Amino acid sequence: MFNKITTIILSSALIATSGVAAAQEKKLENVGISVALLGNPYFVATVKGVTNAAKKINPNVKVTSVSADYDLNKQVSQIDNFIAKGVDIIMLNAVDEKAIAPAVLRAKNAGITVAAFDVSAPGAEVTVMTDNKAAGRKACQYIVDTLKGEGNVAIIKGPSSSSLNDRFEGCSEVFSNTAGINVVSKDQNGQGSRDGGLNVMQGLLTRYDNLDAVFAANDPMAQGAQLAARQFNRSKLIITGVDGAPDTVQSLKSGNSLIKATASQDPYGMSEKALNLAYQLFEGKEPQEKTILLDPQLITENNANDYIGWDDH
Amino acid sequence: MYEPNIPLLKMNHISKTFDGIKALQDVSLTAWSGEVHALMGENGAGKSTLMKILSGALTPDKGGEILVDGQTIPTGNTRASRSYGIAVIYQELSLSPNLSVAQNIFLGVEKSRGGVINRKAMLASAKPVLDRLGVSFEPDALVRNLSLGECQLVEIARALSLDARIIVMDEPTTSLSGRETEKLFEVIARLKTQGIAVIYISHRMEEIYRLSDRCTVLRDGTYVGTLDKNEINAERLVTMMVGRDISSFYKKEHKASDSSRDIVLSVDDLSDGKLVKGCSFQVHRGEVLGISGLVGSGRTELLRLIYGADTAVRGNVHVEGENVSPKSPREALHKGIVYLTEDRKGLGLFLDMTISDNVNVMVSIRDAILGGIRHFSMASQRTDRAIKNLAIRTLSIKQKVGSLSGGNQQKVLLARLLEANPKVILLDEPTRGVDIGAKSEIYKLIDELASHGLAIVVVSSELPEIIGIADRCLVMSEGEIVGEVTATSEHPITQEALMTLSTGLNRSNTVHKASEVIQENLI
Amino acid sequence: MTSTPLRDQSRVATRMRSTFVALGMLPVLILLAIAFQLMTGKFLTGNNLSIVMQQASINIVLAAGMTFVILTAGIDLSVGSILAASAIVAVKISLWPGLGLLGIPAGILTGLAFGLFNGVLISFLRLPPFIVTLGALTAVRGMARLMGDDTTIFNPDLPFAFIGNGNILGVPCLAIIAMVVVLLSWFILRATVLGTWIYATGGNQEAARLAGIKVWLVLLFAYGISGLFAGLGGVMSSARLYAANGLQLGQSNELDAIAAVILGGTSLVGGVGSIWGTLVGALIIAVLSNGLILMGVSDIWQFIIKGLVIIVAVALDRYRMKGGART
Repeated sequence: MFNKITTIILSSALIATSGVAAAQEKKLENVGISVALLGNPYFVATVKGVTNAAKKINPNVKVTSVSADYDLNKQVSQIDNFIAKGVDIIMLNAVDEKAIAPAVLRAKNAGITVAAFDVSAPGAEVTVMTDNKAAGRKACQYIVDTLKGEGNVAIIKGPSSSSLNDRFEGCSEVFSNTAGINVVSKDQNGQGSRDGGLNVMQGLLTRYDNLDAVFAANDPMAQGAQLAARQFNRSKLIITGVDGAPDTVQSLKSGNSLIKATASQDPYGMSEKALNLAYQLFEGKEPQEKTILLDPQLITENNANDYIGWDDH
Repeated sequence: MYEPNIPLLKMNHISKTFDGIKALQDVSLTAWSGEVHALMGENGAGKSTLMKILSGALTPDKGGEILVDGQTIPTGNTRASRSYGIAVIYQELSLSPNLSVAQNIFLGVEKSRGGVINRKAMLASAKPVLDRLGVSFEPDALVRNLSLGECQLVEIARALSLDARIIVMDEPTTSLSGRETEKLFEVIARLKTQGIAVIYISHRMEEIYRLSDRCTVLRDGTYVGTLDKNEINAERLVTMMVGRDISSFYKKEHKASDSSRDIVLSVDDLSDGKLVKGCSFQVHRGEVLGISGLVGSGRTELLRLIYGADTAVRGNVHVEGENVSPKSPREALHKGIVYLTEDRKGLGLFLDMTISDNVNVMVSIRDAILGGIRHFSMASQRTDRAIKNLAIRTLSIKQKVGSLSGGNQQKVLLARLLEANPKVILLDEPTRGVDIGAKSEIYKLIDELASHGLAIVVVSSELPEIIGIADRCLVMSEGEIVGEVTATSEHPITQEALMTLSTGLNRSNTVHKASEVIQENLI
Repeated sequence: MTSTPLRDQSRVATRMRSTFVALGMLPVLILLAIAFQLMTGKFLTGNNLSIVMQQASINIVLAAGMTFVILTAGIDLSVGSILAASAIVAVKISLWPGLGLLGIPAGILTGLAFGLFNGVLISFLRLPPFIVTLGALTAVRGMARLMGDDTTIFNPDLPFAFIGNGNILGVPCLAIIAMVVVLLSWFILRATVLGTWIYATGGNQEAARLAGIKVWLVLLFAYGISGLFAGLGGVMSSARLYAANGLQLGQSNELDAIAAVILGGTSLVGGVGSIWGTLVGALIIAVLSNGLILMGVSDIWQFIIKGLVIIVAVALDRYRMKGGART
């Protein structure tokens, strides 16, 4: 009995060592990427980051990128497909930070390294993401500072997801810590899109004549809000967002933007970093840090020209 | 329980108002146990409304009451009506074709053991019910293998299984063959001896004479009177129904055509590769050609081929010597052929559209402005003309066709065809489901059209109708034209001649007396 | 005799009924507007009404096309996807220097092309509309993403931005386009022969064929115009947002359009309905969305309330119609 157990331990140790040995010899050949929504330039940049980083390791690497379209079912089958295909690394931008766990576990059991970026995923060996709470804090602190700590503000939230929820929380924190700030609305959903942001903002502006500033949980909604504000001729309104998306940066550079600031993320650098960490694990090395929170940078009219945008890579 | 002095059913002072329009006004009806009580009246007279009130589908206005065995029963409640033994057999049967006879009889009240259908018990208990009717099929037969008449018997069996004592039959023989009709009459006779009251709605006089013990007539939603068996005669009934005398029902005024007139429609070896097997015939200017034959003999199919509604695999159609052989109804229309379908609601009218739109839908493109914009004044002119010429009874030309009575609907459909200025008119059962008043008007119209030189083909299952209006009659059997009978002033076409030919007893023009002929002396 | 007053009475009743039926959902719309005004005090202002019209306009245009299709007893599930594809084409072409205005016809023609594709499959190959357009819903969405390189295309200097954000005498251009579409649809349905053919085909396709109507033309037209209006919707949408996104734009717009048509009293079985009903239906949906935001109702409850109002309104309507049905 005792002997049997020892044998098992020994043999599994053997397999483990031989596995490491094999990994050191074999090259990175196959990388699979699943992102929430390829339609968003943000994720296009993350795919670019992964692809370029992987090409640096092995110019002949095959990178497959798929979009889950914010559908958990879809993402789970994508991961299963990656497992069946036998990829070396799965780069995962989880559409649901909790429910993706079983799929991640299956991939790990198949010997695949799973790296989460932008959104955490339970069980992933590597996680690189923007500090979304900080992003919300920075964008809203800008509003508080510009208003000198006094005024009526609104928050346009997005569809419920961990990153958008974190930004919402970070922002709410700043607003509620400032006595002079009155949050008039924070339960309207801009659907994460221009269209939705525009519709919600039209309603808010009709309802509140004295709105001073608006925080939108992402840039597309901020863009929609800006379109609405222009229609209402509310040129004094301050809008901030999160992302640092190309159209927002262009808007900031134009000089007459109502969007005054955006807490930028670095999708390219983020995914690049995630892949490099995953590669170290794949090679059998242990990276120093397995979870990295990237601090967002606040882009305003003043520093927009120096900002390296998503599509500048 | 059974008291001979109390009628099984009494309906007193029944009125029904729809949107201020009185559909029924103070109608009463009494039926005794073991009686066949005929209910007559033109379409729209209120028969259906009265029966719907009886079945509980409609609630009568205040003051109306229904008594069964002298007891007032709740109205407007189908469940209650059923529990008092009232059952209605509708024209549209409601059987499930893929279930057995027994399953259909117990549909909704299946016999089951612990939730599992107990087939054996159902078959066993269906048997005595079917025996009561004296039918020849078994309880485990599939309904889709039964004839229409047999299906009707299954419906009756279903009613009996629910202990029905008052059975309403709404035009049960409309689509039955002669033999099936006989069978139904036998069953009705049996029901009588079992003490059941049958309320029988029909347009056919012959059936009324044979079956009914009494007959109640409604007109325009009012009670006209009830006749006892010995008082029932055609003249009296018709007078009660239409409120005036109809002296001459079929009046042929157009001159019977002779072969010297030119041929308008010529059909040559037309065949659809399925039912219709190479039919040829000609129709002359101003001639009314009847086509007789049993249901399923290919009459309708032949007309549809001529009109291009179905595609012919062989044969030609000529109109005034020009080869048309239409591939689509559209083409046929252009060549001057129009077709009146036998299924006016299913294939003819647009029930949700107005009278005006229904009349104009075929021809409005002809006078459209700039090739597509409707010529409204032209359209209403046409509609007004149709309403006047065909005596369509309506409140306005904007009325929806679906709300008209059967006869008026048929006239609207006819008006649509006539506005296309046809040379050839194909009429398939032109008076089906049409009341007596409208029938005579349609006959008059056909006569007039023939006088104007149109070539008219009439398919009809009613022999007296064919005999009354046609100059010449073809008989079809199994997709072929098996005979031709021409009327002369001395020798009109006889029913015997047509029946003999259509049942295939003799394939020559010699007249034999058929052994089994159901005479349909419609007036 | 008694028949004369009886007939007069019935005539009045018929007229009242037909007026009532013609009004359809209008009372519901008015009640909603009054209720929102009472609750928020800001609903019935010129500015807000102009916003409601703006927000309703794209759905009105889509629903107008959908009305044609549903009148023929069909359905077009692909309009949301077609809208996205057309918007992508419109914005892409708007980026051509000097020729940017060509984006308008290009977007509309893209929609027409997709619509005709549906129409050909349905009228000539006799495929069921539900299946054809369900396929197109997915396939055209894919095409939209392909044409837009699967990202957001934006043009801050959109040459036809006036369509989306301009006003003429204080009325938003979007609303004017929507009204023109409604009037055009009304004209086609009411005053042209094709219009009667559409009702006839929807009422009874086989009877229409027997009456010599070119059923194929009717179906091709219905899906073609639905596609064309979806294309116009795409142009309007891109002009409003200065951007287009193949994946997000127009998502589930087909459902809003169908809801508007049904709220407007058009029968899904075909042959019955009017464009004015559709207009009222689309306005009800827009008024609800706008009013609930004005009231500060949270996003989740907006969904629940909107869905329930649609069901209740249609249920009321059916109940009302049923009361008038005779025999």
